[in-house]
Amino acid sequence: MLKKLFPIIIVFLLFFTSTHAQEILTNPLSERITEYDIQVKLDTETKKLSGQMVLKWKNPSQDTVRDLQFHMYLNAFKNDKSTMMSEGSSFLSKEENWGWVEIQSIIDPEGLDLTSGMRYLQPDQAIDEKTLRLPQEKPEQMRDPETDQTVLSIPLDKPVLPGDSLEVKINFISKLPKLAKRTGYAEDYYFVAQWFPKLGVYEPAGMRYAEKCGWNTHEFHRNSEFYANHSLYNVDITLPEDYIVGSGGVLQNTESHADGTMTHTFRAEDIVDFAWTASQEYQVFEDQWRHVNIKFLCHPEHAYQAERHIIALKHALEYLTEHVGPYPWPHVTFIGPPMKGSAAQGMEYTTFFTAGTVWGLPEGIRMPELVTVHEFGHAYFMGILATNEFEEPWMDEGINTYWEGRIMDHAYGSKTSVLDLPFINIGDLETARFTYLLMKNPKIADGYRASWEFPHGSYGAVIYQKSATWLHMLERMIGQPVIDEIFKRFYQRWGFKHPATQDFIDIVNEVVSEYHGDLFGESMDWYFDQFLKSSKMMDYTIESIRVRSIKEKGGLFGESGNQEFRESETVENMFKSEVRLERLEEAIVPVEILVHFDNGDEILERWDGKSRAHDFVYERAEKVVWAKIDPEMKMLMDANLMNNSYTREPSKMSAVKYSGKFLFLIQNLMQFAGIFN
Amino acid sequence: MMKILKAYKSGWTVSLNSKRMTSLVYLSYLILALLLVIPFYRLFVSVAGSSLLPDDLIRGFSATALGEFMREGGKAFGFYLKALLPWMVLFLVLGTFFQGGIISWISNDRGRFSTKTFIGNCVAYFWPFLKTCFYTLIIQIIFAVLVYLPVSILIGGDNLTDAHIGKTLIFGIAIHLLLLIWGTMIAEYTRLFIYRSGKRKVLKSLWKAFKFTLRNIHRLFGMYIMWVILPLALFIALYLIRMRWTIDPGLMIFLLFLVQQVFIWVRFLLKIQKTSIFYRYLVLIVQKA
Ligand SMILES: [Zn+2]
Repeated sequence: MLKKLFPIIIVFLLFFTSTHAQEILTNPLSERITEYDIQVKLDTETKKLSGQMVLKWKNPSQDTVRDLQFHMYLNAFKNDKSTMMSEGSSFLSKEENWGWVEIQSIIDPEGLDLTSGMRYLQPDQAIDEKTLRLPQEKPEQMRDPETDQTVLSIPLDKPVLPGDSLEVKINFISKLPKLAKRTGYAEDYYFVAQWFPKLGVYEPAGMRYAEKCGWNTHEFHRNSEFYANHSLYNVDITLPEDYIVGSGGVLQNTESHADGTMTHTFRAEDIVDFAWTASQEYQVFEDQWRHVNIKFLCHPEHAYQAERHIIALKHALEYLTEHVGPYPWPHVTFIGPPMKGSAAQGMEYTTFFTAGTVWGLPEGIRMPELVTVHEFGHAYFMGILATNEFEEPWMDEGINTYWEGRIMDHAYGSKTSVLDLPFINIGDLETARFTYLLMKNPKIADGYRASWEFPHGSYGAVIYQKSATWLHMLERMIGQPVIDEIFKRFYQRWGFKHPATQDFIDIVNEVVSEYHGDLFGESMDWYFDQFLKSSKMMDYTIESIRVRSIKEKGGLFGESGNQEFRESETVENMFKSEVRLERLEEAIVPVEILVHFDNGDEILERWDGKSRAHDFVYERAEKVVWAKIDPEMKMLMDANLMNNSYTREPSKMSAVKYSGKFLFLIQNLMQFAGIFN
Repeated sequence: MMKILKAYKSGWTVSLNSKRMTSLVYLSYLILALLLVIPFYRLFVSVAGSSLLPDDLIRGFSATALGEFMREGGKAFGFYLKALLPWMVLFLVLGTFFQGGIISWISNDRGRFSTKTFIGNCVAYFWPFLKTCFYTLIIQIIFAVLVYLPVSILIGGDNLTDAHIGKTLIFGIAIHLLLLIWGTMIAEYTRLFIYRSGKRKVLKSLWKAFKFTLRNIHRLFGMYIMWVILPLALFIALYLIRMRWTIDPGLMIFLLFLVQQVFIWVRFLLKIQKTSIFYRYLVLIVQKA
C-alpha cells in the first residue's frame, strides 16, 4: 500500500513545491510577451546580487528578429562617463558606492553561449545646444560610443521568426550602488530596482511611431523613466533570514536554509517592472480595500503615520476605480523608506511603490498623502496604460499629476489638499498652476518631447505641473463627465497596451464631438497644438472700461455759405459703455466675459479670442460697473488672473485687511525684538 | 514661595497703575510701525488697481488670489520684507530707550504719571541700558552657540533617522528657549542693579545680575511661568477668535484689527508687569538680607 502510494506522493509534493506558480489572476490581462523566472541571491557584505534568469520572449511582429536588446540600467551608476552621470553633477564618490550589472553567460535553446557577440549601444545622441532637440544629421555631436553601457545588444545565433518564442538562460551579477535615483543600498537598507538585465520593447512597424520594426531602447537618462512590456515574473529572492522583504509580487512561499538565509518566492502578473526591498526594521501593516489586499512596509520612525498613508491609498483606489476603471490586481504593496533611504522615495512599479514622509510632519502638511496618491496613480498611468516614459513623459507624469490633483482636491479639499496650516493653505491644482507659471521662463520648452530634452531643469515643471494644469483646464471646458468618459475609454481601449500621444488625442476628439458636437471646433487638436506641442502662453485682459454720455445732433448742417451750427445735445439717461479686451499672449482660446451693470443686470458674452483686441459696446440707460473674463475660472492656463477683471469702483477693503495684517506682523516682531533688551 | 506670590501680586498692582505709560509706549511703537504700513497700504491699492481679484482676499485665505497679487507686485513688496530687519533694530533701540522711564515709574509707582519725567528718565539711563543691550546680545549669541554646536554635531551623523534628528532638534530648541529666557532675566536684573545702585557700571551690574539670577533661578522661573500664562492664554484666545469669525467681512476686518491692537497694548502692559514683578522680588530679597 505504502509502496504504491509513494511515487504518487512524490509527484504530488514535487507539484506543490517546485512549481510555485499559483496564479494570481484568473485571466491574463496582457499578451505577456515576456516572462521572467529569476533566482537571485543578495550578498549583504559585498552588496552584490547574483542571479540566474530564464527569459521567455514571444516575437510579436511579422519580422524575423536577429538580436535581443536589454536595458542594463545599473551601469548608469558605473562611472562618470555614463549618460546619467554626464547629464548633471556626479553623485557617487567612494569605490563601494558605484554600481554595475554584467551578463556572465546567455545560453540559447541550442546550448550556445551568446556572450561573445554582446555590444553596448548608444541609441540617444547628445541634444543639439541650439535647437535643444536631438540633432537630425550631426554625427559629430554623437557621444563617444564607448561611454554609456545601459543598452546592450546580443545577436542571436538563430533568429526568432514571426510569432515564435525564444527562451534563453542568463547568469548575471549586479553590484548595487549607494542608494541614488531610486535604487541601491544605504547601510543595511535595500531598495532593489532596475536590477536585472531587462528586455526592451520590440515595436513592430506601425506600433506607436515606429515606421520600421525594431527595438525601442533608450539609454538611462537622468530624467527618464522606463518603457517595458507587461510581463510575468516568478522571482526567488535569497538573503539573510532576518530581513523583511517586500515586492510587486504576491508572496508564494518562504524557505529557510541551513546557512541562515531564506528564500522568498514571489509571483507577479502583467506588470511592467519588478522591484523589491529588504530591511531588518520594516513594520508591516495590512489592510483591505474591496478585493485588494494592502500591505504597507514602513520603517518604525514613520510607523505612526501608517494610517495617513493607508487612508490616502484607499482614496486613490476608490477615486480611480470610479472615474477611470477597476484596479485589476488583488494586491498592492507600498513602502515607507527611512531617511537614509530617501533616494528611494516616490517611485512606482505598478503593484509596488514607495511613499515618502518625514518624522514630525503635521497633519496639515500632506506630503505622505500626496506621494502615496501620486505613486499609486502610476499603477494606471504607465502600469496599465504602459506609455513610453522615455519618449512621451507627459503621458505618465503629466496625466498622473492631473489625477493626483483630482484625488487630493477631492479627498482633502481644493484649497487645503497640499497645505492646511493655521495661516496658510493651498490645494494641489493651485500648486501645479503656480509651479508652472512661476518658472523663470515658462516658454522654455513644450511638453511634447523626450524626457532628456528639457533644458535648464525645466522637466518637472513642464511635464508634471504644466500638463496637469492644462488637463484641468480641459476638464473645466468640456465638463468633468466628458473627461471621465475620455479616460474610461482610454483605459478600455489601451489598457495593457502601449498608447501614444495621438491615441489619447483621438479619444479626446471622439468623445468631445459626441458630447459637444463642434462647439469647440472640428476637433480639439488646436488645444493640444498650443498647450502640449508648443510653449505658447495664454493671457487675456480687460484693458479698460469706458463710460461716456451719448451726444448727438451737433455739428455743421447745410451747404457752405449757408451752414448752420448746432450744438450737440446729450441724450438723457443714455450711456455708452465700452469694455475693451486684449489678447496679450500667443495662445488662442475662446473666452466668456461677464459684464455687470449698475442696476445689477449681467450679460455673459462670448469672444473667440482670435484677434488681438475686441470691444463690447453697450448703449443703454445703465452703465457698466465691472466686467470679468472667465467668471467661472475655467481658464487655468491664463498666466495673469489679476488683469482678467476690471472694475470702475475698486474696493479698498483687501488693502485695509492686508495692511492691518502687516501692522500686526511688525508689532509682533517688535515685541520679539524686545527679548534682546 | 511667599515672596514669589507677593512679587506677583505687586506686579499686578503696579501694571494696573501703568495704563497711561503703556499707552505712551504703545503709541510710539505704533508711529514707527505706521511709517512702514502707510506706504505699504498705498502700494497695495496701486497694485490692486482696477482688478476684482483682490476682493477674493477679503474673506479667508486664497493662495491663488494672493499668489497672483504677489506676482503683480512681488518685487515692490519685497522691499517691505527687507525693511523688517532694520525696523526690528529700531524697535530694539526704542525699547531700550523706554526702559529707564519704565523702571523709574515702577520703583516709585505712587503719584501721577508725567510724560516729562518719564522721558527724562528714559534719556538718563539710555546709554548704560544700550550697553546692557549690546552685552545681552553677546550673551544670547553665546547661548545659541552653546546649544546648537553640540546639536549640529549630534545630528550630523551618517546613519541617523529623521526621528532622531527631529527629537534632538526639539530638545535643543527647548534648552535654548530656557537659556533665552534666562538671558532676558539677566538683562532685566542688570538694568535693575544699574538703576538701584545709581552707578552706571554696566559690566559690574551684569556680573551681579548673572549671579543673582543663577542663585534664584528656580524662583525666577516660577514667577516667569506665572506671568507667561496670561499672554499665552491671550494668544490662544486670539487664534480661536480668528478661526471662528464668519460675519460680514468688513466688520470682521475691523473687529479683528481692534482685537489685535488691544492684544498688542495688553502685551506692552504685561511686559511692564514682568519688570515690576522682578523688581519687587529683588526688593524683597534685598530687604530680607
Ligand atoms: Zn510620477
